[in-house]
Amino acid sequence: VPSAMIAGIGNTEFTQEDTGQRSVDLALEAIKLACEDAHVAPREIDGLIRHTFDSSGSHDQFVANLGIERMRFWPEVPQGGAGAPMALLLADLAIQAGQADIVACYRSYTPFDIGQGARYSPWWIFARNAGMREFGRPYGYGSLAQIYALMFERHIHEYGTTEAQLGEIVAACRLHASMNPRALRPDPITVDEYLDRPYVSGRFREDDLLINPSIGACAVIVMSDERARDLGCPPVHIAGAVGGSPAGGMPNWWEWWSLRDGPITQLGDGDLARRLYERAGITIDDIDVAQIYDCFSFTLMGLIEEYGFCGRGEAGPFVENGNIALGGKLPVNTHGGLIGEAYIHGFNHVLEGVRQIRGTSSAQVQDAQVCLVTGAAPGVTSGMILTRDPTR
Amino acid sequence: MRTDVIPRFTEETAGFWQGAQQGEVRVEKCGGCGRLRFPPQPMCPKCNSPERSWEPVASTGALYTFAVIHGVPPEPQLAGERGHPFILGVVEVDGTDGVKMMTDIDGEWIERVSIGMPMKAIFETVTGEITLPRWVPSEE
Repeated sequence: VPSAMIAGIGNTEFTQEDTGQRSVDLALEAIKLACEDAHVAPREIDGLIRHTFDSSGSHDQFVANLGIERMRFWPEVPQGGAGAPMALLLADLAIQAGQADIVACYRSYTPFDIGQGARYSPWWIFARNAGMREFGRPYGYGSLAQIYALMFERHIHEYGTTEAQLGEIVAACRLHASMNPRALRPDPITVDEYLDRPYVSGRFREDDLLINPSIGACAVIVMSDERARDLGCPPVHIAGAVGGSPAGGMPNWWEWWSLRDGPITQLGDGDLARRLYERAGITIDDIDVAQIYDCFSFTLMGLIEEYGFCGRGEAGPFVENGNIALGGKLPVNTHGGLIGEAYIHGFNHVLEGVRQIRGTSSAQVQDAQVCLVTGAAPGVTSGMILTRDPTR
Repeated sequence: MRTDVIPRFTEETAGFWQGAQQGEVRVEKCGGCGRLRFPPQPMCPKCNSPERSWEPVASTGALYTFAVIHGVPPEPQLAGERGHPFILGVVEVDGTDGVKMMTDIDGEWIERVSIGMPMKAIFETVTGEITLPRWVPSEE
């Protein structure tokens, strides 16, 4: 069975200035750059996996503009930030099954995708036309940050976690962002400076929140190991990618996570993580660096527990003393993450994972061999392991 | 008051608002296995029954978690019109095996709010058609 490599990466400039950029235009630019990086022509693409939240273009537009001559495989992975590793899983499967040879995956993010398009989705608590939001909105439940602020308060209550510990996550991401010329929040911040910032939502400061707006696109080109080697691409193997979902609680729906009848401090990825490590043929001690979803700083804190880097409720102490910064035990989000580089729904985490394995990150972990990339949580999500050596 | 943030009746939610008009807190009850759930959803995840009804529950509970909201949200809301900052709360309803509801708590409680504090439901008339259940600290 041929295994797959990420042979090329490409991204547009990230910006906060909304000049009406169209999602499709940004995606075309990122895919073209990824093709150049992988030494293939856009017309050779025969699989295109759109990673979306709402609507951002159609496969027809990509065939028409990239000059694709034979589109053999063209699924779409929704779920926003939860879907980036799932897109890579599909690419891997398509190549193993011989359904496609050169697969492009992308996420293009503009304010339209989530801010305007999402209003028409009935399964979205902030949708104008869904009756569900009436159980939250009249009481002031009106932003994504609040979902996680409610979880963090409970984490403090149950485990004695502190705001300074949350600040350690922000400080690590911002240190890495300060080394990254693409970053939209390039200023480093100390934990003391963080604690002096005013609250916005619950215990969160502005620095705890994803960068909004963020505008930009990221793309990768996936192909068989053999073909990528022949083209001279540096080795970045998809050692494993899996999907997962939380179980056992009601409602099991991330927008209402704080109303769950199970523990709301647990994000529900433990089963996914175990299957991921097994499939990739690694143990947790093999992981050199991790790109962990951080729409909010607490998301990352919760995922550190879910992926087994520490025990339940121990993520606060785990992130202290620079443990997750470059030079620490587990450097995370070496591009700065969604709170430091840009909010491209985690597809920028995929690109940073590739850079680490290639040895080309602006905050390079020495001789990084194994990188974890996670999707968002809680909810239906995905994760993957990238390695320099083939593991299967 | 902004009319676009006043709750509306839908087929799925009408039973909740009708209960509030009668001074009742209601949650959805599975017609198959009897489990209580909130907010409503089309199918029970435990027994997969689509049968469901609205069940009156206690008007007492305890604060499960909260967040003091300092920033002004991007869209108008009833709670925001009561003034900033305010507290967004989640209440675990007594006798329901963990069913929870949102509420807002007046900003005057910011220095005293704590997880576990007892709460009780009150019913606020918003319009002739809509009565809004709110949970307030029951030890004034």
